[in-house]
Amino acid sequence: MADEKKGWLEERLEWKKPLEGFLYRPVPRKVGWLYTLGSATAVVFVIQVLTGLFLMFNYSPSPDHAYDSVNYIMTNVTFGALIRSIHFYTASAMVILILLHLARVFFMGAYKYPRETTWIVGVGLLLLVLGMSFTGYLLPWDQRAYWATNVATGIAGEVPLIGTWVQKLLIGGTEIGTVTLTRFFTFHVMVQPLLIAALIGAHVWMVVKNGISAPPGLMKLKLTQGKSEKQAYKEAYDASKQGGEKFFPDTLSRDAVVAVGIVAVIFILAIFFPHTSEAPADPTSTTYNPRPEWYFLFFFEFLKMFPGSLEPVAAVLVPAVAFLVLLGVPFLSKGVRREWGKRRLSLSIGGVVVVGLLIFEILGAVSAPSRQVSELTPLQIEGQRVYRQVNCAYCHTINGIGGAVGPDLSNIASQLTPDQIKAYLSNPNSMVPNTLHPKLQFTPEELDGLTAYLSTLGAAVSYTPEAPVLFEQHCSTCHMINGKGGTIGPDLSSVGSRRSATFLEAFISDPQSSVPGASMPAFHDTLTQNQITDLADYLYSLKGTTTTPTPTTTPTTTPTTTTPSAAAQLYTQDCAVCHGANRQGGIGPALTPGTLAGMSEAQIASVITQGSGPMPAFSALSASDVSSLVTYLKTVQP
Amino acid sequence: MTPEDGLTRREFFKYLVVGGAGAVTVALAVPLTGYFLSPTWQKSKNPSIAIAHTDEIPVGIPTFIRFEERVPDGWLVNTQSAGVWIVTPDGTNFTLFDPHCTHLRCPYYWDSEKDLFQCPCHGGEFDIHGNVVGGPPPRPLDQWEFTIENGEIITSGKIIKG
Repeated sequence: MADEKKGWLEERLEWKKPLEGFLYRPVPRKVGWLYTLGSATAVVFVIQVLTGLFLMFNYSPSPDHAYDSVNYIMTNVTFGALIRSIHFYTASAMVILILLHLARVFFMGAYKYPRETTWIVGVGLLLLVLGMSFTGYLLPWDQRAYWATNVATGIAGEVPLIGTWVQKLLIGGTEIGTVTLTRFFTFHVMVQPLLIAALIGAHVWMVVKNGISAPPGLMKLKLTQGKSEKQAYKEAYDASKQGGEKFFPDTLSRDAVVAVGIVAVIFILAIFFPHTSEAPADPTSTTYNPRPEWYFLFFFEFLKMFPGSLEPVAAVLVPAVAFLVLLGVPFLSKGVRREWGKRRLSLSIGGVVVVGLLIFEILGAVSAPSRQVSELTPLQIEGQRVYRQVNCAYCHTINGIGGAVGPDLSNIASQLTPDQIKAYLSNPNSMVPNTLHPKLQFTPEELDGLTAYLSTLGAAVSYTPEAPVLFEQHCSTCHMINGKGGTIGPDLSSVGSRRSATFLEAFISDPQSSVPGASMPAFHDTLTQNQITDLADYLYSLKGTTTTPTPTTTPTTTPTTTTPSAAAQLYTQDCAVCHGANRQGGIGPALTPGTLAGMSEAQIASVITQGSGPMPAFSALSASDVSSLVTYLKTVQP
Repeated sequence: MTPEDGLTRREFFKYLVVGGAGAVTVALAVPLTGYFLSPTWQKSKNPSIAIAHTDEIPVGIPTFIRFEERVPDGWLVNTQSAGVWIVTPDGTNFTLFDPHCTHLRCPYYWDSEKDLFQCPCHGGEFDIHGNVVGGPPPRPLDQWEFTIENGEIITSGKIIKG
């Protein structure tokens, strides 16, 4: 029966001969483990297509729903978190493997006759794979996704003459939004994968047609009178296959081992280090530090070398030339001969490029701002989202923003326990009979999130009696609280009005992780985790004595009569540690009338009260203090 | 080593290729299959809500109560209208009937002249206790689980089949 079946198919399709030709073709001797990189790249592409396809069953490509749909995959779909994490790690694997494969082909000269077209198609694949990283990055629509895309499309806008047009084409308009997301989604799931599949097909066909290249050591050409280099190549290549292995199962067995190894590593990463989203995208954020994904860090570092008007050179010209050179490698590095000794120039240039890229990559990794330490937990972020969605701000105020129909919620956590908040939200009448508060039907998840978020507002923190002692022992040399302590670091009398306990804990443990370049030492080796948490809670309880938090609006009053000595004191107390005792800069920029000439008073006031980048918000300062400080900085020379 | 002694080198490599491909396939197939089949074993998580007060339900007269419920729908929470028939013989014991005929799920109504629940689609008829008294329905009316707290009838819409 089985023979009849085979005969029936074979009679109609004649599939055996081409398949056997593919599988049992001879392969040159000494084709070793480095040659598995190409198939490994193809395997991870298949993994990406499969995991991506299944993620599409539950992903919604609109700004209103993208973040929540990814969250749904992570929390409500069986194996959702695993599939998502596999997709994330496999993306990095794909970049690593394609670069290693390219390097192997380059250094072995396998781009030379007759494989020039294979190389060109391969460079096209590299471009498409990097493009996949770019388009896929936006889809989770969290802070990381939004801001990385904002920066990358900003770079695209640097192209001379046509930059604005290119940027609009990419974004689908003037701002990153709904059209951008659907555009990137379509590119990511249809256009790019189809192109990659087509090019892989062409690439593999060319590899089969021309044969797997022999290692350079076997390709010493015997040139005699009347014999061209191409003829000599053919003879040497045929000879290299004498006594060699068969593609199946010999060569393919190494591919199988490597594929299993790579899949195992990806699964281990995905299971033990699941990838999670950051906070939902917030285009109004003034404090987020965009950081490129690891495979673009070298470019991030490279851009720093070309400030100001030279930026288009680094952002556009150099990458464009680099890709053209890469495409043209078979034509720039002429000749058929692949022996190591005949390619010293190419190998040297290749080596310099690889080392250079590695150096830039390491420098970029060291200097790139760290991932933002979130002020809120994921549950609290969910609660913030529910607060916005249900439009509680129509009736309630938080920190000066919202309506006045219902009570101010800015310090609700100091008035009600989380259980009380939850009970009230579930059924307001049960706690306050005949209340005007509507009975909103929250789902259990919404209720937990909203309770968690409201419980952060003015929450009383508890710390042990050891916390102030720890402060005196380890912090008071540099920092002051209520007039007692040193002045090297900022005054912490009201730090709790500017920073959450979460942030303070991370900062005390390792300041560099939150604010690169911070001069404060790390305390994770000096203090235990419990001591750090205790200290953070103590500092968070310090909200300042006389001032209440001001709304996040810029002061509109004209500058009052300046009181330089008071403003100077304020500067020394809160600003000097980062901006220098003489306002000449340090961690932060110089703040002199000259350096601030380009900023209006309202802009400076906004930066002071709302923060900027690693600079915290000083929202505890009164409007007149801010105004004095602004006038002092703008008018008084250091 | 000869073929008669055991595996040849070639055979070992063949097993390596097939085994490797199989391992990768299974490693991916298990989570992908679970992911795809996930909706079939997910339990609906409709929250319980108070839909009516016991005082609102007249004794002996089936009353249709309309209410709005917020229902999780994937990653969304949708507000949708729903309804249920509530019957009480004595003001103390209540029954909540799912508003769909057990034949083919048409919405039925209370015919006060016949004192029967009447389905307009295929003539199904149920008495005030939900039992089939005429037409093609195969079983009595489905009921909803509920509780009564402080006079409030609270339900999540979870169905008890008739």
